[in-house]
Amino acid sequence: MDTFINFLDRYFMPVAGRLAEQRHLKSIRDGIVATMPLLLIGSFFLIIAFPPVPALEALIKPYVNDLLKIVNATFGIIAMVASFTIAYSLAGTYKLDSLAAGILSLSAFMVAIPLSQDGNILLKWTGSQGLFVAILIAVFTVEMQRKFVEKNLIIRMPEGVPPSVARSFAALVPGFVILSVVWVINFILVKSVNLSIPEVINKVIALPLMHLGSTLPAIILAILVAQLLWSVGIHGQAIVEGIMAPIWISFAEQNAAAKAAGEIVLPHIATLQFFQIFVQIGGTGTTLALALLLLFTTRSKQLKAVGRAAIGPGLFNINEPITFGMPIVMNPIMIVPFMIAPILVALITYFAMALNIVGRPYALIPWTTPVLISGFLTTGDWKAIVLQIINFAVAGAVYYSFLKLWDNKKYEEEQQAMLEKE
Amino acid sequence: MKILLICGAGMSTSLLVEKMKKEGEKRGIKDLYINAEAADNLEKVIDDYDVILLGPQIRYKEKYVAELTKEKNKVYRVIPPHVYGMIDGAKTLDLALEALKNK
Repeated sequence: MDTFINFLDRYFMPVAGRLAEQRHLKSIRDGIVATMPLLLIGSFFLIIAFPPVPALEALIKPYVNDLLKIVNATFGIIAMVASFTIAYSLAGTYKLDSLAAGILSLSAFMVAIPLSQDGNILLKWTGSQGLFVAILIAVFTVEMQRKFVEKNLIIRMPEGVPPSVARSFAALVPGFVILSVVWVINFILVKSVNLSIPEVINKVIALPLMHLGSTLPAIILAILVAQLLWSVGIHGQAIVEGIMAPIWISFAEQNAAAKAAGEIVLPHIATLQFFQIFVQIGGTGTTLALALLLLFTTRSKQLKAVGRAAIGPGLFNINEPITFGMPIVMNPIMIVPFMIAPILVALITYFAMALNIVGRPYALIPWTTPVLISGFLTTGDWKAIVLQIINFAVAGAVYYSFLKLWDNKKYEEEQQAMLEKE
Repeated sequence: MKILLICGAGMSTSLLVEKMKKEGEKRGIKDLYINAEAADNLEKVIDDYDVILLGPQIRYKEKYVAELTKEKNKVYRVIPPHVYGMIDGAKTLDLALEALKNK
């Protein structure tokens, strides 16, 4: 076990860390995270438009379309906003003009997406269907911009010209080329195969990727990697979500769009909420039950103290007192249930949702929302509360015997130390 | 003296910040300013601080923080896991003071 931990620490951690810090992945994540406030606000109005209580539903019904206006202005334009924010973040890492990058990327995105017959913008493309398109357009825009600046193919103004004027001229040449290239590619694609850039991207890249990301093995793998990283004390979610967030948030958006369209069974299970709300109850490793067990069932003074420190933050799904205080990190005994519990809980949640026993999540809520409330809000289904209780209990059962082993060891150590003092 | 703690989202470090503030009051240290931030914001706010303390869970960012702090002429330390786990404000404050002294 020690050699295994050493192996993780020496080889697995640096690779995962580098991947999470990779410039493009990091910018994509930062850009998408920047859209989060909009999604949270949109979710709030989505919950109000479709209240989880039947009595309220009839009351709200006449106003649903008015309320959905805000949903459309948040969820409905998320890809459009992301085309700006991702380019903005990425350009910042190259120390390029980030504002110009964001504006050009947004414009290029609008060039790429198809319009309706009578020339209107379609929420489908500015929202849930367009995220991968936005990502690729943003990366393309900034890389082109960088090439132009490197090769010095920009219009430079003589000194004395106000910087804001000089900047707008500097963006002219790359902007002209970027928009033209996107337009030409789109034109050729539409004329030859009758598909626009976003449709091709979704067919060739997004759908296969998302299909892969939605499978049960992918879900388990994502959890396994995050738990392995935490086992050596590295923030696993930050790394795994950094890579998977575009897919998981896309799923969440598509569920929200389906909900807004009045569909009963929502399309996706592997949403961001699946992991944050149903698996990480009490924090990574589903440790809320463990926090209670630490507080009430341990003989070791140290572990009881950890329980006291852990219970408050645990209610808000923060569990560093447990992972580092108990500790779970680098602790061969506790790493075992730390792996098993979240995977078991994920399996239960997956099947409960796949068999449509429990509703699938559509509203995005902060991951720090306490358990029970969070499950209800995110799905609008009271059975989600039951599911969270089951998950909580299963995780507690998995941890129990391992905790006993660790508690006995700690207790003996403490007794030994006391004897030596006397 | 201005101390910045960073972790994934600035959540768990904010627990530690409160403990450190109390410890600072207890010791009667004046001009003590302590704050928590998400690691991704470090570049934006680093100029406002003297010492940067890293949560152990994001020590994979240590190289990046080391380079940035060197460039900005600041100091940094990684908080030891057991200190972090027990939310030990006193030891974390000691760490920050030691880092400043050896600047």
